[in-house]
Amino acid sequence: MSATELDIQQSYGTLDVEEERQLSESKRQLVLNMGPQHPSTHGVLRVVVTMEGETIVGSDPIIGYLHRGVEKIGETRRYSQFTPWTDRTDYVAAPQNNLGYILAVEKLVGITATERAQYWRVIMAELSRIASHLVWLGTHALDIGALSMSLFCFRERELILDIFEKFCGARLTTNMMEIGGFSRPIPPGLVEMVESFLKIFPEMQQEYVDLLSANPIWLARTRGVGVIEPQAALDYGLTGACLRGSGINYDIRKAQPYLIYDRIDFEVPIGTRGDVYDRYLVRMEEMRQSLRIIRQCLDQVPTDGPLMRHDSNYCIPPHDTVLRTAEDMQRHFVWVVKGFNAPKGEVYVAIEHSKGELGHYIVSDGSAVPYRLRIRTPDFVNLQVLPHMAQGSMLADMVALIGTIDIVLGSVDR
Amino acid sequence: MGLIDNRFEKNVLTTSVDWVFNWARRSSLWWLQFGLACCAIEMIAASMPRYDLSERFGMLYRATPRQADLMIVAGTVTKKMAPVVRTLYEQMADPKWVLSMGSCANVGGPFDTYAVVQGVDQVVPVDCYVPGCPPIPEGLYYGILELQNKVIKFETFAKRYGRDEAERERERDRQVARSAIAGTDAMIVSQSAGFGEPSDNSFPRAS
Amino acid sequence: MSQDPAKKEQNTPEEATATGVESTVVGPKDDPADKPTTDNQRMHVEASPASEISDADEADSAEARAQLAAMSDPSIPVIEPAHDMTGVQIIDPVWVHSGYWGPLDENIHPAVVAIRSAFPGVVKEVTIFRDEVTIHVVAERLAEVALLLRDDDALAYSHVSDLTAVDMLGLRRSPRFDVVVTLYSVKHRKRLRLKAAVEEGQRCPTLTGVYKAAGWLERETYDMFGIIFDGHPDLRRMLLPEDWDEGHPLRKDYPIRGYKQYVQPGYENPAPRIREPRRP
Repeated sequence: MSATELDIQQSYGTLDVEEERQLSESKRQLVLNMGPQHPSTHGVLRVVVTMEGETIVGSDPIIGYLHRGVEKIGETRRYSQFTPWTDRTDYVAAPQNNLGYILAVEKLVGITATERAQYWRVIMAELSRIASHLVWLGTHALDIGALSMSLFCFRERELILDIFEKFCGARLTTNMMEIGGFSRPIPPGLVEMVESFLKIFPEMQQEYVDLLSANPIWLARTRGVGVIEPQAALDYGLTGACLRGSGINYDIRKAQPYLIYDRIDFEVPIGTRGDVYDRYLVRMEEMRQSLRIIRQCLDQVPTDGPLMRHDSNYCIPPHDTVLRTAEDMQRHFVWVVKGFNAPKGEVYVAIEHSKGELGHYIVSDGSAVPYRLRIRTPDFVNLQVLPHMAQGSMLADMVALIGTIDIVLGSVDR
Repeated sequence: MGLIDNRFEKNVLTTSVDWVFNWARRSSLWWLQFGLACCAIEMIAASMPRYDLSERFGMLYRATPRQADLMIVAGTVTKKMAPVVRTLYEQMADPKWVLSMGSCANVGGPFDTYAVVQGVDQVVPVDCYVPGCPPIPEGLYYGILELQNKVIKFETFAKRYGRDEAERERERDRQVARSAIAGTDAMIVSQSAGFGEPSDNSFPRAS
Repeated sequence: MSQDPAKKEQNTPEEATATGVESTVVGPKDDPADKPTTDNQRMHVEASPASEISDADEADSAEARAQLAAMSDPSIPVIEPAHDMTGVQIIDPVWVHSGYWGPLDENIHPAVVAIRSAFPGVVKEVTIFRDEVTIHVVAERLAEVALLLRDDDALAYSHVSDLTAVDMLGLRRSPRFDVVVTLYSVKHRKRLRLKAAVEEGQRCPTLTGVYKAAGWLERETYDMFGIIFDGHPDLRRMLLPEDWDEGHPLRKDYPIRGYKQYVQPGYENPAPRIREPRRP
């Protein structure tokens, strides 16, 4: 039969390589659906992969399976009420989401928190950065095949979740930041818990490094895989470890410092090649730098002083005076039931989230409810680079690529 | 199961045998690894060293619904995801149970919006509801223990309706299966070869 | 928390409040005003609730507070409020003088100057709020403006942070939407916001030729608002199912609960709902 009319159904054996090359594209390519329910996609991500043999020639991530309408909810809730929904966008690092939103509201109304509260905000944010990186490392290594890594990482994460539980009562969806600081005092024993975590964690991290960093299997599966060139990284709007792994130095904590990051001495790790291994190294080093930041914060934090600024219309009055004085009780009632009217205008505040740049854009029309609340999540923009990275790689690398972008579907879909 | 099924009158031995099967079912519930949102992280934490759901309860997670008997719906079910949940539920083999974890799966949670199904029980029948947002791993334990109490009471058809009714049901299923393959050119097994009448205690039995 | 530790520690209200337990017995010696606690230094003078003081009394009330402070115990610190209880806010300088968005004067801001010189008539307005600079441009020229901002060495806005839209239905009659682009310059560490007003049904030029990141951001904007971007390679719905026919959710006239409830085909008896039927 002629080569151009090779009909697969007629042939009962395998095809020669020459015959296969002469097949039309539609018969040669296979479209595979890595569906919403998949053990390796981190949540409900669906990737439709077009392959020739084992090589990926095209991929199309389909998201939206967790779209819950959080931005629409933001238009119906008052500023102080909206914080719990920010927890649920990126649920592995909830305090940082709270922080980003609260900073945006504070910029809108023009206040800053007290100094002691700012230090504690940084401590909580850095702890949640470590927690987020632990989830990333555990699931990333689990997908690639190092099954025991997930057990180790979640064991350390439990220590951090204990700290959160002592501080605010919840492990995962913390809802801890408030406009102007913190409304409840620091519980006794919390500083000791954080100190003991700082003592324990470096050895544990050394265990991960021993398991993975020089492991030939790990190197073979991550070196040279998923390379993003620096110019492509900027073009695709990547932020966070994806951008820094490609060699571009952009960390909002250094470039446009917020809270008290300008008083803290830390380094920003930058990669060289932009592959999965470099991003892994960048995130491991970020965990160590977070420990350094927490150490300095604990040394510098004022041990007494207010946690909440209480001379402003926009902040919740302190707990003890609400229960004792009439004026503060009235203020509390009005603040909770009616809310405050924010000034008219629009703000955009970006913080360095563990996954990249988390930005909140609030448009206010002068009422107690935001007019438009936009959450610019890092994963949503970072995920766009997946087809670019997957082009030409093998199907088995697809799980490594999805893992290295570090996505959380609640944050992608909101 | 077919070996001793319906060989005895409805007596204590059959009931105890049922109990043995149900005990086996509840002690090794294999759950479908199906996490949607925040509750999935707590579900994963429940199977990690501190809480250790898998090893202590005999629960193993399987990635494919064909091998699972428990589906823990952990997280928000959106309108885009609901048909997928239903498909997974239908792919699971009987007996199967569904545990709805977290307030999003119970009633839609804090998301009463255009894109969210208000509760997974609008999509699949649910056996146990675990409240929380997210429920801490011990909360998930409580739900699973309650579900195990439900599993141990799971009855076979024969025990509930009597042996004759069980046989009639079985004959109806066989007729349906036969008519489904009647038009194709697959081999039809002869109706009398090896398939005894209900009162025939021949060995082995096809059920 | 039990009340017993509190009763034992009545003499040290600092510890009592540090454990978060409120001491319920307050005697003449235990007046909290005498002992400032560690965690919550309380304001000594209390002004009237916000709604009752008018703007004109601002100077008077500060004076009144100073007088009150002078009359009372000098050992208690008087906290000078940075924010008046009237709600007239004094903005913390951190949010105004950070310099993260460039100079707060439209005549010297390099981006504004460059756009005005390269494309006369394209800049409609420049608004400045807190430390942010927003340039309102004509929608048709958005892509050219972005290209200039990206390629000019002195500006080098190489990164698009965010691309979204705002439905201005409650704020102005027309045009209906504002497409908002937030840019960032990695080299110079400056942010900038561009806004383009787009009428309903009007197409906005796409920025995918300038920044690849705009691909998904514009898809999401189309999904949520219905704004069609001219020249986008792959404009289809992203966060909602691709065959969603109920409209564009983030518009102001779209009810938060949506229009239709989900009915699972093939499942005749879903669990009944106790509450009343859904109202948009």
